[in-house]
Amino acid sequence: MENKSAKKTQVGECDLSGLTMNERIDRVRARRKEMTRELSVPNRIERLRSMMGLTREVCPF
Amino acid sequence: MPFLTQYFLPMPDTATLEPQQSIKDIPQGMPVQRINLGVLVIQASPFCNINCDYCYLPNRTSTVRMDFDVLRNIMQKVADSGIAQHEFEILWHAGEPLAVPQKWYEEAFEIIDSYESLRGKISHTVQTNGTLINDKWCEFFKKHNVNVGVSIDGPDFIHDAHRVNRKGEGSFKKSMAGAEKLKEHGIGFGVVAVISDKSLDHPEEIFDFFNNAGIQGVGFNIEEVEGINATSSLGIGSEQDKRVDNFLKRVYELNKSKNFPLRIREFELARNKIFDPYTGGSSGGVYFNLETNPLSMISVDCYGNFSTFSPELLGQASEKYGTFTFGNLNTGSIFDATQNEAFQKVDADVRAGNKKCSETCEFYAFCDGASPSNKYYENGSFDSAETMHCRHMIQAPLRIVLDDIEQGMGLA
Repeated sequence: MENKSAKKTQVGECDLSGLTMNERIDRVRARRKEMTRELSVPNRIERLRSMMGLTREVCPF
Repeated sequence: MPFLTQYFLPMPDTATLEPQQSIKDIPQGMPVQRINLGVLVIQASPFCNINCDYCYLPNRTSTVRMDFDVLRNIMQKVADSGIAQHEFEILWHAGEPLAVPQKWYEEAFEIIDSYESLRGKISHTVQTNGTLINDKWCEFFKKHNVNVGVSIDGPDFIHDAHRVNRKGEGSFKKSMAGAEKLKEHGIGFGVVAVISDKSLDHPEEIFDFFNNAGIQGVGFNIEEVEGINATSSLGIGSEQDKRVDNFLKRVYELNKSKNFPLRIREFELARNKIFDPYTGGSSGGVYFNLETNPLSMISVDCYGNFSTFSPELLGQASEKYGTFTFGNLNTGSIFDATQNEAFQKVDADVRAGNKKCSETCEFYAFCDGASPSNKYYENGSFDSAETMHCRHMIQAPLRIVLDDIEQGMGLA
């Protein structure tokens, strides 16, 4: 049977088990920043728009 | 690109364009659905009362003035062509527009207003060095709703390093007196500031100057290699690129530290592109660049000779292409240009260069291809890709604004 609690502590390839909540948040933030460096400018912009709900379908302009 | 206003033009809604009868004459392969006049640059006279050392315009000592019959022909051909389907801007430039008497403009505006099919579609802008602005000009601007762009490079020691009269004397005091007149009359105006080598070491002084001068907005133009300005004081190379980047970053930080009191064209544009889901990214939209689309920007000299693509091409000679004058509106139509060998050669290379941009540059969807005149004068051909202007005025501002937004959201 799948271990659901173990799954919950995985963010990408990052194992968060055994970490405090603050440590987990720091790890997630660090991974997000790492991703920013890996992404192209158009993909960074697309990610930003998606996070803000600025898609063509819901575009307020 | 010396103009302030072109970047603030709304992107034309190409889906609503009506096909025009004359468009069938356009060579095969041209993206006809995108033909829509955005800016008509008119040279009332090539004369300029000052002599900036980085200016790209030829014949600046000639005092010849456009004949009204030439102006009538220009407007008639624009009206007949059907390319003015939406609002467009008449930009009075390619010389100091205010060196031509106001009386001339009174008559010129009457002539322009007489073309019924164009009425209500035209907004007027003058791009001026500001030195000749007086109360009478201000009254004229208000009466005719003329937008005003003034060229001021920054505080006196920056401005006067390049913007001098024919005796070599700085024009700062007179330009600022003109700007003060506009303020006295309650006329909002934008500023175009050329960034040359000397500017790069003074971002604080330049920002403070514009911020304290009560100016609505500023657009930075890097000193470009263009026309008869064969070299730029900025030079080329990664060290210089870094200096320009640092300058822009510092100006952005200073503006941010004061809660963005100054509208800076390059950063506003970058921000708009980032938040407009119809450009760039995986959504596939492309920003519309008037300069890379034929007949979207048309520049006409005082004799009726005209060019398209970048306005800086007007009146320039070229070994490679022969001429950038594609026709004369006294004798032919705007679409006659499309049959012209020089036009077809330039158009083919502009399109090939744009293809290169689209294949090699991740910023393509945010600029629609680099300015053709920058490509030609820097790279020797329109069929080329990245330029100094791309790196400094498109890529750097987009990165700076994106970095800042991401930092604010904990993403960088």
